[in-house]
Amino acid sequence: MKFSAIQKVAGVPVRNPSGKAKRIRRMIKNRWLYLMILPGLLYFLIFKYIPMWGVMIAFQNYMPFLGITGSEWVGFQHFERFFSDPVFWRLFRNTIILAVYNLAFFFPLPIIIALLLNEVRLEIYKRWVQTLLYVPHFVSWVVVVGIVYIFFTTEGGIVNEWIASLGFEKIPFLLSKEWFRTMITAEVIWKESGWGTIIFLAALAGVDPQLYEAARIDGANRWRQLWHITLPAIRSTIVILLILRLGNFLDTGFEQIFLMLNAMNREVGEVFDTYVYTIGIQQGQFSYSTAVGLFKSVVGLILVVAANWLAQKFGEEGVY
Amino acid sequence: MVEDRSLISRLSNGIIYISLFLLSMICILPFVYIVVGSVTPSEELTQKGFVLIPSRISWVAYQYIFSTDTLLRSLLVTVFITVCGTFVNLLFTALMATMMNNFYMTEPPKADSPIIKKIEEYTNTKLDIIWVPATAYEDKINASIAAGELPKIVMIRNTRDSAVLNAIRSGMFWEIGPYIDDYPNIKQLNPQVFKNISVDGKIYGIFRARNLTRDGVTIRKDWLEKLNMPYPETVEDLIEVFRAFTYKDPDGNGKDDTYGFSASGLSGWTSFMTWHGGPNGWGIKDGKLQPEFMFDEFYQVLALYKQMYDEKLFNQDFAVVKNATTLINQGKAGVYLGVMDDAISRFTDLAKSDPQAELDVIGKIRGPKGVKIGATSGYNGMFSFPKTSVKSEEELKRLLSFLDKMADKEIQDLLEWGIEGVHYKVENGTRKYIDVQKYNDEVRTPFFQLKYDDGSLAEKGETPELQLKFMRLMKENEDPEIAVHNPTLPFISDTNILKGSELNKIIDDAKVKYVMGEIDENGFKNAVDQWLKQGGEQIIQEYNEQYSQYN
Repeated sequence: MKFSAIQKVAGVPVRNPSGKAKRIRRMIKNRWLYLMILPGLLYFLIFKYIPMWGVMIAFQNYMPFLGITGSEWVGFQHFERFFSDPVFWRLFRNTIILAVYNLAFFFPLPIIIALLLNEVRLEIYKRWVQTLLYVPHFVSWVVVVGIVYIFFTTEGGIVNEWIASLGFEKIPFLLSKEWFRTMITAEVIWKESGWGTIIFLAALAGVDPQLYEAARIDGANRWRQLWHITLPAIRSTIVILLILRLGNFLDTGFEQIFLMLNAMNREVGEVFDTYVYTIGIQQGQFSYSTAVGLFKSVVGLILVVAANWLAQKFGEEGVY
Repeated sequence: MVEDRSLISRLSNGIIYISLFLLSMICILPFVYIVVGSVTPSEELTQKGFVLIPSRISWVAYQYIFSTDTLLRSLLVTVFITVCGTFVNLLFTALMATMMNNFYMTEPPKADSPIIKKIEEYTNTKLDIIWVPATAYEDKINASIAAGELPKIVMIRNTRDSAVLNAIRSGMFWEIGPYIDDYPNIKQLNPQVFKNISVDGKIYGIFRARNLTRDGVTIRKDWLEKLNMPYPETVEDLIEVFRAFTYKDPDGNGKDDTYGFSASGLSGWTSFMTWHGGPNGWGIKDGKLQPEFMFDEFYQVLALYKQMYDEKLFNQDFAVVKNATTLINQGKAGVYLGVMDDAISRFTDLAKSDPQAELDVIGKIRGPKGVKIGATSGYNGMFSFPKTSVKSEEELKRLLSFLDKMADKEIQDLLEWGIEGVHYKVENGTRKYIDVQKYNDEVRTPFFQLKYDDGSLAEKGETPELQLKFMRLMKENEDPEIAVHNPTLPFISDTNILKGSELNKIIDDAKVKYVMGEIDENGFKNAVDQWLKQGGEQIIQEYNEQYSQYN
């Protein structure tokens, strides 16, 4: 009898399982949990990870008919071509500037609107406003740009007709370089600000009302309450969303920009995504466009990791 | 609970409520405008633009979209695809002759159209045609090539597209050159045009024959008569007509809302170039092939377009307009600079909305070097056979004989006239259209896409005068003294395949910018330098190598 292998737990002899058996035991005990995440895992495996093999064509001269295995391997040739093309810097600049505009002008707005909503006492009013604010989110970009065209075109657009009737010169909103970035950002703000308030409202709802009471008793007015209670409460939410936003930094929203591009604003409008579409689908240069797309994804990955690390450095939780 | 009731607090409360109100209004008003606009009668829309309260409610627009079953079909399609797409797809593709083609109207032809039925009967083949909107056709072709999901016959519209050429060179399509002589109708096609579509000396498709010289001036005859102006004969005449159409209120509605011509992009560019004695895309200068912007006439025409833009002789939003027929159909422009056969097929809406309107065609405009016009390649697209879906030589031969039958007299008649009793009737032994618009809408415009012959075997009947006129003009313009060809058509430049569209965009964008006053001549010269540096030099070199080989 091996007494050393037997321990006593609360007076009852229990066999000491080895590490591996312990893990399997635990897995079987939690088997339903594992079964629940299985479909999700399979989904990611099949639709996200396996297709990643396709990324290989960025290093080949891919011909659809020859397939991945039959196409010639060229290594980094496409990347060299990409970085030496003056177009690259233009795309980079356009993408970065649009992303910065988006971050600077769009990102704070859902927060501000959520704070405004939070101050409203009349429930009915709050609900109505929320409903109306959410509506633009559900409309597709095609419809939004169609509406924008009707409003802002120089030939009979509502806004320009109004401007003309006031005696001013019509403004070529859709055809000028100067207005392009403003239009894009304004469209994103109009479409997504309302919907973006949801997550902040949820965070605000989680704030303990006793804190507000205490503050009021101490004589704090509404603005001090805002500064000392509300904002710190949603700070973590803001940081997390900022990290996620940074990870998508180079994602400028293909549909919207593609629909708004034309000969006059291409110089400031062409971004990585539309470029990949133009040379990939329209010109059939599959390998080259995959290389461009791959570059963008790698940069995105670096940004997310860096932003997350930065957030943790500042004491926030981070996304992972 | 102690509520803060100070004035500042009330005021800030008020501000908060008001700003939220404004925000929600901003979010919802555009939709209100659009919904109201959908029930506003169209005359009011064109006259007054979008109003908040229309004079009356008109359900015409809704009737229109529900009159066809497109909406319901789209919804069902979405559900269908989401639920069981893959399995059904696999089943269908195995059995029939599938074809992919493009359509120019707002609606693709229905699968149960009587025309399709007659074709199926005659050729003894079940047809399943995938119709794709013309504006998205190139994208669809490339996407299909990439996915390897092509039908058995693909109508390739741009035979020199880089994706297509790559696919051809990698062996994706059957080489049909050796089979041509086995089929009586296919055999009779013009061998020169076969050469134009060949790749590395081999033939990979059956081209859709089109007239060599189709461009011309389609003009509102009633406007000319109203303004007491003669038909323009020279370029200067034409510009005077543009001016009159723009400023002399030809539609007599008292408003300054008409344009000389309708532009989608720089419409009429090739016509103006050739009228001025310049080349068609590429030309021969000092014994070498050069692109058009190396010629003086190019800059003359560029300055002319700028002048016309400044004088508002054509619509100022030309850079974003995709379809030049719209302004003509709305009665807002007097001239259409495109192919003359569009005159009877793409302006049916104009006839519907303004019965007084009359269109005519002008085939000859005189410039400094005489009467000239740009020539096409003689084809518009070709029918090719992908090896991914046509698995054997027998199948290829079966498809070729199907296509051969499509050029038989019976089908030529069908496409030229439609169905007896529906589109045409026989009076005193001669065929006559019952309703030309109906024939155009139901037969000509959609199904000419299936045609590759030149229609010469069809019965002659009472053809509308306008059609006889432009057919005669097109034939006359084929005269080598008049027709200006693009000499690079038979040749292929590899750099052009790789970078062609990107490079073309540099020049096209620069042209637009120059016309709109964004850049000046130096700016344009920079664009040309860019074109040369980024690959243009090589393209010129490659074309000239092949040119000297054959000359």
